[in-house]
Amino acid sequence: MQPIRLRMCLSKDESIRFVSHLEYAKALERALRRAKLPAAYSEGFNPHMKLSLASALAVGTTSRNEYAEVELTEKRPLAELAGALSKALPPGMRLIKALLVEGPAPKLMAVVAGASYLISLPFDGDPVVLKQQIEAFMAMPSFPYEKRSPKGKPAKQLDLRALIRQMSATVDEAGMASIALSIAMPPAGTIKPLEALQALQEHFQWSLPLERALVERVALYENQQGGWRPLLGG
Amino acid sequence: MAGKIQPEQLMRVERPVRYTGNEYGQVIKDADAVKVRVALAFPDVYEVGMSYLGYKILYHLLNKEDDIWAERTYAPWPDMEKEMRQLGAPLVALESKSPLASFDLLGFTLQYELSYTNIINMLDLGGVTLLAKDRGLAEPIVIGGGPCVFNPEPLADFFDVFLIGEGEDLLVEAARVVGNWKAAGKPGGRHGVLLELAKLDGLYVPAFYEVSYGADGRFEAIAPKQETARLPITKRVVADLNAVDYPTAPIVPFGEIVHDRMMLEVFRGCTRGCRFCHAGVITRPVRERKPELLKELARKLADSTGYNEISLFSLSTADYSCLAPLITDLIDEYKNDRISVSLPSLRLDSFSIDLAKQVQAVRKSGLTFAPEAGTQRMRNVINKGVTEKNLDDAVEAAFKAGWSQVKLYFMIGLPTETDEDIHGIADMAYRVVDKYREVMGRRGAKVTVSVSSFVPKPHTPFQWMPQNSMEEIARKQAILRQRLRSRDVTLQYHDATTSRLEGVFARGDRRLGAVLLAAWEAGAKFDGWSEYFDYDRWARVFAEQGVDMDFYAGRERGQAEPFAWEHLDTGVSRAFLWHEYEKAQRGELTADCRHGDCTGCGVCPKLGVKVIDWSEKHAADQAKNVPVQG
Repeated sequence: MQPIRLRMCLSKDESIRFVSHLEYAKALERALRRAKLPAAYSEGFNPHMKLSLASALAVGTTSRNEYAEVELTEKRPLAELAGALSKALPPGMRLIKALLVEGPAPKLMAVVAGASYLISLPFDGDPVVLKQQIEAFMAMPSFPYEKRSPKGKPAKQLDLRALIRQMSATVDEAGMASIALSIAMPPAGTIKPLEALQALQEHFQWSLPLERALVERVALYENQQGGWRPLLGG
Repeated sequence: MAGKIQPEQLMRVERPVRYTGNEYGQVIKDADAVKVRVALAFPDVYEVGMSYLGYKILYHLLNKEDDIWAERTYAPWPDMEKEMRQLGAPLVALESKSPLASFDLLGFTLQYELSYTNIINMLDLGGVTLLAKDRGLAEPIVIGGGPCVFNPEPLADFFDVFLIGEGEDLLVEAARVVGNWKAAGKPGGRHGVLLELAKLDGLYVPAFYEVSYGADGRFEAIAPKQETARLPITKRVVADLNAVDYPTAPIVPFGEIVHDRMMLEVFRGCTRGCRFCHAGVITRPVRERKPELLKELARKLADSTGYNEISLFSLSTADYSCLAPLITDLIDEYKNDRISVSLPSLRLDSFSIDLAKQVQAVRKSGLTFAPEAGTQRMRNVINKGVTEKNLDDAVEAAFKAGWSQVKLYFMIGLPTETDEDIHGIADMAYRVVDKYREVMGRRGAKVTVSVSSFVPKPHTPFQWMPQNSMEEIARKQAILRQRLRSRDVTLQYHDATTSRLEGVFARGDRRLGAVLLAAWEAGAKFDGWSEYFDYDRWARVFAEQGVDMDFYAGRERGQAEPFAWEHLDTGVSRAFLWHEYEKAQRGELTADCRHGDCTGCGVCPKLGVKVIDWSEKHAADQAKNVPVQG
């Protein structure tokens, strides 16, 4: 039999902002069990559900589009699977999209090429200057960045400019800035959105209160004909 | 204006998911539509509190009532407390995020003495006046329950009422009384509702009683100040667990908690009669759930939670009369669902090894046994009916079945203990090591010896005895350190200071309330956590308050000495406990009443209940030729 996989796009809403990546995966696994989906398990003494998430999401970050896939032992109508799962999800996790994949296909985590984020935080400077500086950054040929690694490992030398595919900012009348950021996730290493902002903050001597920033992941992308396309076709 | 915790603060604290709620299965109601709002407070961190079965039961039973809304709250870890105090943000309940001060009924469970300072801290953080006598009309009625409620006297100043015994029916009744009083415009003020509450069997209003002490400082008597205040207050007990509702759709947390699995309570109570055991006295008699009912509950739990492990829970699960067939049935039924079955503890015999072979969760780690004492004489004193042969058989079976790690639990500081008994602990550890070599033909056993310091508890046969001094405990620990220098054996023990404090509060009286308050003011909290426990601070506070710890913990009490906790009646008579104390001195055993003769402890006739054991019932019914029910 060809392997069958259920691919899911789910939200991580405000009410569960502080749930960690592992906790989110565990919650999804329990929901799949409650929904009695025919999930496949590994062999052995401690069987594990064959479930994987496309990309880790940090504690404190919400998401409009998280992606996961689970291997199934039998084929069932998609509407039935999606309906059962929707009812079994905890509050703060909504099923946005689901589709069945039959036959061999790379894992979602192997095809993720990048992510876009929206960061909101209070801003009391001049919006015009902020926008100009962002444009100046985007016009740079490169922006060397040293990423500190967990102890023992050497620091990674990254090019922040090459990683950031898009960046823009708007400031509303209430003084809240929204910074949109698209970050590539190549195997050689990537950067978290707030790390990127911190690096730019130091360079441009901004005084953004990053500790009050709320980060939302907007989308995850895969490469398609030289460009990016949202996972599961958006 | 009170501050509010924002994402900014939550980003800074460890495990913020402790404070955000919104888990699967939490109950949300319309605060304006319910008659009474209850907060169930656990005076320790979320991961510990969320694992407590008692609150799963009470949360379910209270919320089943349309006009009651029960919520949860836990002690914030000190990093979060710092953020809260800086912002002026009060401690709230997880569901509604309402401050504790805004609830009608605020319940605390008294699980261990070292959590008492956390109760005071939570009241303070929740905006609730600390002393019950000073509380205003708008503040919650503060109620305490749980195992330590059988001597709540050190906490009497901080509580309006205590719930003695099992809360299944009683807490709902108490919430109704508070709700009706509130709806009627709170007639008679706080005193008015306390009068009503004191009418319920099992509720104890400490302010309605006057305590007197003798010239030598000993507790003398407790007397009602109110005509209606009863004496004694007898514990409430659920006669038949098959007839009460069980929480089959508990909250499934996001963050990992201590017991992160389905908890299926197979029975309550334990009649083995270990003489040191507080739980064994206060939870009598043994009441089993029917195997058929347990299987039905397991199915509902599995369907509603999505957990992949089911724990058969009780004080001594290996004693469940129908355990072997129940485990076989559960394993068969849930094999395809990848749900494993686990046992929280094992009995020291080969029967338990046969069970352990079947259940998966035990396999992951080593096996744990509790011989409790190192010599037969000492085990007879504490009425722990296990023998060296039991140990030999159990570990032999375990090694043959493939285990190599064994953990042994012991206590030191037991009555009549001599150094020979301490050496006996080391001897037993080496016996297990040798057994492995004998069975397997090579070395390789990993034996962990975990030694706790015995704390005499109220309502037990050892309530008369002095606790070993800290020096004596340290000396005995040194003997074990000396004897257990082996790469096959690991020795674990706790500092004697925490046991000392536990011993003081376990048999304390109302005069300790001032010490608790002063200790909290001096910064004591999370005393059960070694990183926060500060014995020197406690010693200083006791000295400043002029209270002698030894008076409470280190003094041999006379046969006729009245105790500060005897107005709270477990159903077990003082005469029985004294008789057991005397038998202990002589090293005489008392059999389990579950299978043998009635030992005359007094619980069944006093409370109008009986032991419920399904295999014995089955046998009796068959003998009478009666069709077996259910």
